[in-house]
Amino acid sequence: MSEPITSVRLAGVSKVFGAVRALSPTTLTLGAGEVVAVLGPNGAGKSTLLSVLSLLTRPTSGQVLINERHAVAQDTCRIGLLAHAPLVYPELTARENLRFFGKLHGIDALETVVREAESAMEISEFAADRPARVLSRGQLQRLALARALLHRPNLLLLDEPASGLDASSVTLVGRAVQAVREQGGMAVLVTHEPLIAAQLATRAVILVKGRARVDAASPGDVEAWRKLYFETVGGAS
Amino acid sequence: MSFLFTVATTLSKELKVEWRSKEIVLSSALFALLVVLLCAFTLDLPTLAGRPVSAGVLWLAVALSGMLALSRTYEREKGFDAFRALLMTPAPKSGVYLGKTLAVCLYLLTVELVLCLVLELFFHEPVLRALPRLLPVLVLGTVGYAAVGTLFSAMQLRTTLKDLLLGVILYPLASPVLISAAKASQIIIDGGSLVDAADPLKLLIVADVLFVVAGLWLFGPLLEE
Repeated sequence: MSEPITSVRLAGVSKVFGAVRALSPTTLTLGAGEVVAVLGPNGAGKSTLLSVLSLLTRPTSGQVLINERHAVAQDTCRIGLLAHAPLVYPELTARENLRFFGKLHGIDALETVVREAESAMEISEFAADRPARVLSRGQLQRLALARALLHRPNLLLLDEPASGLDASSVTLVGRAVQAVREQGGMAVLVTHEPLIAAQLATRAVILVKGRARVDAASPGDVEAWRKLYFETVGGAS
Repeated sequence: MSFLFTVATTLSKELKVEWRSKEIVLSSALFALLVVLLCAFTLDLPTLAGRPVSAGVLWLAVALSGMLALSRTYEREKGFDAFRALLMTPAPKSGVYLGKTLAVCLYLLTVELVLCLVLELFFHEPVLRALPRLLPVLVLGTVGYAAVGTLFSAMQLRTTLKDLLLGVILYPLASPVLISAAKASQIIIDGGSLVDAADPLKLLIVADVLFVVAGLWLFGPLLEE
């Protein structure tokens, strides 16, 4: 297992897919305990930014530095990713999925950790008997969150975490982010919801057309987030 | 994370999923059966009397249905993008490769055993009688084909060309395996021993070793973007 992640720095990172520039050179620093909300209109490069941070996508230029050294493949085992897709096997039950990924993460006392994850994400009721393919969008999202947190990551990356979740389930996302912060970790959440950003984030990054137009401390309440967002995005369009 | 533990965990997951869906073995077996039946009803068997054709038909069916199996194996990874979570684990990717290759071998060997029975019925060649001697050839041929196929099917995860790319790359690379396996099978079904089939078997073993080593080495880098 690699060392815990205490800082992440994107130094002039850009990403080009064919003729499309998804992310212009971007610099972003993340420290322990920080929760960064990344907002922006569709196609702004938010998911690309998250994918680069997850180390699954290699940037076209620039560097990803973890603990002030070049990121290496082994660092991924300290990263938890909640993506658009749930990243689980449809034919396996929730418990089997958690066991499978837990084994590949080399988690000790796996059964206990799996039961705790099921309980924390409130999926115990259906974890053992229903394949993931028949779960509802919200249930899948909770399973995906359990899978992302199973190995106790230091860097939690959340792409539209509230997608498909009802209001009470959204609190699970808050708890997950809080748990990572308490362990000295950090989180990045991509969202369209100023409410989620206002509740969880300590910092705001607003991307427009692949460029970070805002990188500042949390503006405060949900209205302040809305105002900041529309001023930035409106001014850019 | 130990290599063998990763192999066992991946293999167990693959077999569990297949046991539930039976999708790969059933679809591959049906496709292979169709190939055999088409050959049985279109080849003029009486004029081919004394010239064994079942070995060629067997490996033709394996080559075609095998691609279906390989393709489906990776479709499962793409369904909910599970492979991305897999890539983020510290498990050695070579272990994942070997686990997947072994699973594909088991699917294809199951199909081949069914094919042996059907070939005996339709081609009236002593395929079942030769089965104990034929088995090592089936295993060696399947390992080689699955090894190269599992490696290059993984490209489906990183490209939109999918089956087209797989076909273009897989068949030329797998041809030494398929031709050697067909030649060795023909000798054995014709009543020969494994020693009689030594030449194609040697080529098969060399190709197997090369493809497995290449797969263990290249699978991880191939999955990285």
